[in-house]
Amino acid sequence: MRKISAFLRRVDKPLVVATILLFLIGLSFLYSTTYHKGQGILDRYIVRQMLWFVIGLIFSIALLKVNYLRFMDLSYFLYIFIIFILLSVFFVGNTILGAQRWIDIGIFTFQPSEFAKLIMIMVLANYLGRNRIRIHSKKTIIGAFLIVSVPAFLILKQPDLGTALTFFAVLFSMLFVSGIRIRHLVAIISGGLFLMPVLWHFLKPYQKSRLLVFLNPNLDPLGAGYTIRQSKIAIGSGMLLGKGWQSGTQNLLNFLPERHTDFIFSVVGEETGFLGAMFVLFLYFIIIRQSIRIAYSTNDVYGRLLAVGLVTMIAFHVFVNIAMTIGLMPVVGIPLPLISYGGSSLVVTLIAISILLNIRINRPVF
Amino acid sequence: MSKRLRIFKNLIGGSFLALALGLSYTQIIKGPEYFRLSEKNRTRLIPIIAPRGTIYDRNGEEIASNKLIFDIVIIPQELRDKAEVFSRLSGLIGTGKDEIERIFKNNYYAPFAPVTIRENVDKSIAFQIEENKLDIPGVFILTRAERYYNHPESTCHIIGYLGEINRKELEQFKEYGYKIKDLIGRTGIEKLFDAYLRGDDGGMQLEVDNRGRLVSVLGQKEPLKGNDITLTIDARLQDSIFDEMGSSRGACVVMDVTSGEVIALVSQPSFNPGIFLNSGNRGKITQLLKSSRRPFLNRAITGLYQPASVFKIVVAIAALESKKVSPNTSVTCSGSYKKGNLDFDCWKKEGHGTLNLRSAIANSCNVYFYRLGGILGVDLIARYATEFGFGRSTGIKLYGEAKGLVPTRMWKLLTKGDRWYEGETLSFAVGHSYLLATPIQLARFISGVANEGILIRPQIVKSTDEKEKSSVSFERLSISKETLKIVKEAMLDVVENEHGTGHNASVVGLEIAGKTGTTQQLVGESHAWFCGFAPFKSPRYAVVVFLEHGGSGGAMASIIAANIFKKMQELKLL
Repeated sequence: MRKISAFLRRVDKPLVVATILLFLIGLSFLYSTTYHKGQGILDRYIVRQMLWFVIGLIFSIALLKVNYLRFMDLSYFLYIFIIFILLSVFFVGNTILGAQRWIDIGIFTFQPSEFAKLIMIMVLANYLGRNRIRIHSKKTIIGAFLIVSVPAFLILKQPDLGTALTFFAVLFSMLFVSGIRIRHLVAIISGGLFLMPVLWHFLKPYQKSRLLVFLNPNLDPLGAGYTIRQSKIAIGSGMLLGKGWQSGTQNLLNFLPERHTDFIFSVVGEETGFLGAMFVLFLYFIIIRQSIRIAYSTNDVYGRLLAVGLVTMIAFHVFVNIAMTIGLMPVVGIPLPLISYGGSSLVVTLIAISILLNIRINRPVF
Repeated sequence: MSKRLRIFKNLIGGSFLALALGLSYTQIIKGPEYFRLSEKNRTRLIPIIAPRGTIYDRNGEEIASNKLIFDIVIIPQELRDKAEVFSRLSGLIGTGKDEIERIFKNNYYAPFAPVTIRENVDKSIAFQIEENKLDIPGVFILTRAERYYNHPESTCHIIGYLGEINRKELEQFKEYGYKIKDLIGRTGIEKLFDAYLRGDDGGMQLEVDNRGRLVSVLGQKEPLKGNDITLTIDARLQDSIFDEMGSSRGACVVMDVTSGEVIALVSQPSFNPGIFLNSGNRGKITQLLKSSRRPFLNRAITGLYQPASVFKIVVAIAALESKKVSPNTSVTCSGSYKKGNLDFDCWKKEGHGTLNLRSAIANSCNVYFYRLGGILGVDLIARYATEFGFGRSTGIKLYGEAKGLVPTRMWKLLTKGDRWYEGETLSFAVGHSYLLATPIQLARFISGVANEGILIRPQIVKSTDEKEKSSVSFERLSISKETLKIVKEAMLDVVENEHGTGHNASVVGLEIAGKTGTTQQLVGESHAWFCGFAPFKSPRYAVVVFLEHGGSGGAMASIIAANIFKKMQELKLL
């Protein structure tokens, strides 16, 4: 009992509360989007999602017992391991919605690319922390790029554009916070812009059409533009107060595709309106604000870099996902952390938050 | 490092602000617009066509009503095994499986919208489909009301027909609730009273899902049948006259001389207005439209003809009223009449001998009327003709009535740029020259004579749902009783005297007065007229028979008139 109360004192309570609230909100909308007449109250999506939450929770609590610096030592080993797993996806992976992202391990399937994100952040924190005095050298930057590029390429091949993009977003913010020279940063950005037309040719036709539809939403209202149009209609039609839980017509009448995964926020917007959507946004804001505070609060370079990487990952997911549902971003398959249906994403987000808590608990105190 | 961290923090804060702004724009500013779009997404409207009002004859017999039609339809979302259902359906209705497949594909609109496979099937087939319902999921029998004409051929020119609304009409009538694909009256009562007859369509508002499948019925508005109309027509008489005329071309009008009610109005040849209801009849319709027999022409009100000797009654009245001639003025007919260096023939080559006015009418002597024409002059005759309604439309509530023409000196100067020749007056005096009239005008004229100079407007609509439309509209002409008495007695001779030209029209037990007319044609037989009224002592009905190329007025036209009078006796109308 004392142990628990001591633990609770040291833990970042707003972060934990916001996380749990978002998960519960996610669960209720998962129910709203997948509930069908005649099926029991506990349909399989809810049960599975709760099961994944428990798994994520067990992992998170277990990991809290270990000082995060211990992960640093393991990071390169994990990096090799995940690259091996990512390679194996091409041979034993399941194809869902045209992408080979999942690996079947008995009762569950999981997405190695989700875990790759965590491992990559640890490796980068380790690498950049160790090379912090050589951060102005080009060699260091190229090294960081190589570390990210190998898994990013494998994930892009699956194909999973969204996760690959997350990798680079994380890389940029970690390089930036490490104190990389501004001219190097400018060089990287202009190089990226220069490479864009080349990368265009590597995109799949559906990815190209998504980008074209983003530039002109009325291009193909029944084809590639359908989802984004229906998503905007769903969110917009929620207006201030929403149509009420389980009363969204875009949701119930099937107008919205992928509404329990990538487009679940559209249902939140439709059924709870602007107020509900802003509340969800506020909870994410709490998570991110607390996480950045953790980054500030520690003097340990490794811990700070790790925190920045994890915050970037979560914030990037939230921003791209919500921006996509209201047409501010092109459609890339990125789930909404803690709310979208999907075990791997949920477990990884919980572990990320657990590591953040870990950084705070184990911060060196002078 | 902490400076960079602050920039990083601000960047993330900025992106969240962008999201908040994006959400307020989408949900608050554009919210109502997206809400409308989401409502449009989920609702569909299926119209339920309202039946048109019934058109009755004067005895309550249905002339145009609505018939229950059975359509075989497939509701796509209920269709389980397409191939299986199509082949079973094919066995039941005899249409080929591939043909069913083709019709289904071509007419598919949405999963909830019924696709009509075959229209208007026999009741027995409809029952068979209902019995086998369980074997053919997705196939249904839909019932709807279709216009049905109980006396299609005989009444077509009065009733008119229906056609799909065209673009121009749609623009014009949209605000009155007309919709695309609506049926609209094309001629006759159907056209003139279209707004009154048409019902108020109902509809079902459905909630559908993303694939257009029915989820629930949100609301239903029952269709409202249109208003009914009762005509003055007696369908029994109408049918019998129609049959009587057979294949001859022409028109017959029977009119109540005191009320103006038209109890029969037949035009031949005719057509079946029902053919316009089925799009499969396009070929037949084109053929009818092109036919040189012109079946769509309502000869009773639109056909313009020379009234010939019937017009002699007008000339006689003009002569007596203007006191230029007395009833006893006699003229000797030698078979022809000389005017200048032209010879004008009487129809009786050997001549009628000496005649007074009454016997001149009874024998329809041309020479007598040539003399009268010479005495009266064109404009005086024209004045009386106009008074009796020639050259003026009668105002009957039917579509496309013609006005006719009464020539005058001035008219000729203005339209032909030429002066009036005296020889033309002679021709005019026996109902030829430029004179043109419709059978309905003659019916009004004869009623006026029978009715002591009261010119009454013919009526075809007896009452509508709203009110009895028995407001009689008439003009009282200043024609003396004596004049009319002389003329009427002469007309009595025409029929009742065994030497009268219209003796063929006589009927046992009925005193009939009348006048025949024969219009020479350049090609073919002459047109024939019989115009009369009965009973003589207290006139009740005027009868006009006109036959295109019907020979002499004393022959077929008079015989048909006799049969009409007989039928009216039989129907206790006389």
